[in-house]
Amino acid sequence: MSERREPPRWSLATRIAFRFLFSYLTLYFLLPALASSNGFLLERYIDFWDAVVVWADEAVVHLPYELAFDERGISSSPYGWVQFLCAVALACAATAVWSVLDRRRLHYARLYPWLRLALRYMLAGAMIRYGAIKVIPSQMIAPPPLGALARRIGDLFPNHLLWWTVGASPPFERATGLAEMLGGALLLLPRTTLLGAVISTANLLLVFLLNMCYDVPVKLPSLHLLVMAALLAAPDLPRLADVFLFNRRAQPSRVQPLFQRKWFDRIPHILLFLFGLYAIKADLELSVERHKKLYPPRSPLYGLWSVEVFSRDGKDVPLFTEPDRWRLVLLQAPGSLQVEQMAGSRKGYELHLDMRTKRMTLGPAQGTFSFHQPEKDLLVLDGLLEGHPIRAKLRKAPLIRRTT
Amino acid sequence: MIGSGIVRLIPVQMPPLRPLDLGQRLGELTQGELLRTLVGASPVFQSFTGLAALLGGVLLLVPRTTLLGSLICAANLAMAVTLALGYDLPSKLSVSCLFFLSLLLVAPGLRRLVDLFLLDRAVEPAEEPPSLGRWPDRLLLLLGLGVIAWGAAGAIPRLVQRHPPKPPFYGAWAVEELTVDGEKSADPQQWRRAVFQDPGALDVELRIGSRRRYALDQDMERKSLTLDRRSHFTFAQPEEGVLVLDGQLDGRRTHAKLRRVLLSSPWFHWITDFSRYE
Repeated sequence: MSERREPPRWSLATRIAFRFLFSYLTLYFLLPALASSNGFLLERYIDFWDAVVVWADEAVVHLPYELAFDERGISSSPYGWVQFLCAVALACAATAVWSVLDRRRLHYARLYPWLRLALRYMLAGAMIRYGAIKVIPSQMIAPPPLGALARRIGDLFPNHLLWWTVGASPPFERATGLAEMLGGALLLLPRTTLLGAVISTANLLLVFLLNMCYDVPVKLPSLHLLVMAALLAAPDLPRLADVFLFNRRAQPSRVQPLFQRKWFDRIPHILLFLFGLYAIKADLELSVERHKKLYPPRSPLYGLWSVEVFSRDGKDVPLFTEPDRWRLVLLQAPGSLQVEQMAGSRKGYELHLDMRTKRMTLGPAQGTFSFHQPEKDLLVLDGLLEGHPIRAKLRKAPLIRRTT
Repeated sequence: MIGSGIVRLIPVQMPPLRPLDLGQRLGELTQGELLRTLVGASPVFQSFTGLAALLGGVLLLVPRTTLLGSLICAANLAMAVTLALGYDLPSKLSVSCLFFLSLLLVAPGLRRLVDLFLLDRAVEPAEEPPSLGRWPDRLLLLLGLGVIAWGAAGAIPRLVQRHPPKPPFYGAWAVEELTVDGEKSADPQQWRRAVFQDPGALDVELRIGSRRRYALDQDMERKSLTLDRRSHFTFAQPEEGVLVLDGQLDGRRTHAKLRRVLLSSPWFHWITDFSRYE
């Protein structure tokens, strides 16, 4: 910026709020993010929190839960909540000390752009990470594992109902991931930060509401991200109001430079941009890796199959009469077949499948079937199992018909 | 947008998830049924989606906020189109048309949006479109308010009708323990789940998979219930979400411990004990 103008005086409340935000974000987000590349520093950081959290839980908070130490960090776990409360308390203490020592200062106009830069770095990283694991569907398994599909709705946790609903439509999961990555990517450029913050706020508002309504155990983390996105958009609210509510002329945003020299000023922004590009690449690659692990090879007849017609020893066995009549057939991995019987018990068989001769052998030495598929979603088995002639007509369950 | 928003703000578009629906298997639903189930399971979430649609629609009624309204509508409708395509909903064509309409409304403001969001330049005020006069604008506003009133008048009775007073023990219960004549029963004709949904009825799913409906008489004061006027039970609730029945079923001494299934239990937790997912 060519013109040097005196930054305005900040009100006392603004100054205190700024000090709190700066202390809180540094303590809770920036330190672990900066230390994450150095194992020694990260361990000291974790040791510090373990000591504080254990002390605070015993002395002050008394949560009626066990503190599980593998759920550290920003998390809705008991540990995470105590840590959050301690971080707020410590940031308050730091704010008080800072406010006393620095009582003469009228503004933080030099430090403020750094806070914005840090917010963009943290939020863009999170949006890109959560976007990438949806673009390559590896957050919600899509379609959900057959074990989950065979369950009754009532036996699901509400968050799992949400999870598997998203997993039931891989294109939808990808689309939501793209929306998140778009929000994150726009945060990487100074000019499009406002748009990125608005898109991220909309995304995160939906995520937070879903977390609240379906008891997803990441309420605290998603609330933090939502507040970060809103903080990034907040200084532009008057401009947004000029454009969208009052139809007045809106000035361009006035961002204080990080350094006085123009070239120096660009470097952190360029670094953030490069970090973002790297994050997009690295997170997509990680998601591809996760994807491979989450989606092992599938049976050529993959699916959850409902048993529509079942006959044994030449006699038709209707539904609801014999406990060992087949109810469901699960074909997930290539070498196995699982049968759920009417009374609910499951039986697993080793499976040898020959797609060319259309024969399957159930092991060890249990039986053989010939099969054919009169329609894509229909499977007819004919053969011998445990000494009894069996004939069964199976239909693929609706939820995975369209997704496979 | 107003019409579709109001029936979700007053959550009647998706039917509530009832205890009898909870026995269905996830995989045996279609994608559309699953989506309905999800949204129906949380009336609060349904209300939020309705509020977002309604907000977009209402802002369209005022000339000055048309751009903001059409952007909010476009965001809502982009989601609706993605859902319709992703979950094979029958509304694909209608929501796509509305989405393009919202883009048409955004188009005249495109230059200002680019200045604001992409180039970070000064944004000039929009030129006022040739005015039709005051009356058409007022008429539109009145029409919008009319749709809200009409929609609410239709939705509220439906909401009341869909949420009749709940009988005691309302919900689906899984049979955790069952003893007949003092012995653990493995009889396939025995109970697997019990559902208290409709007043005066107890629906039971048997282990073999079939359903059976009993006429139910409850006496909450004497802690007793009677099925089909001949099987008498006393009940106790030793802890939240657990129901213990003791009595005679079809002439045999029966003891059953029932536990509320997950989705039939209150489910909100600020603090998550992650061991519950193991």
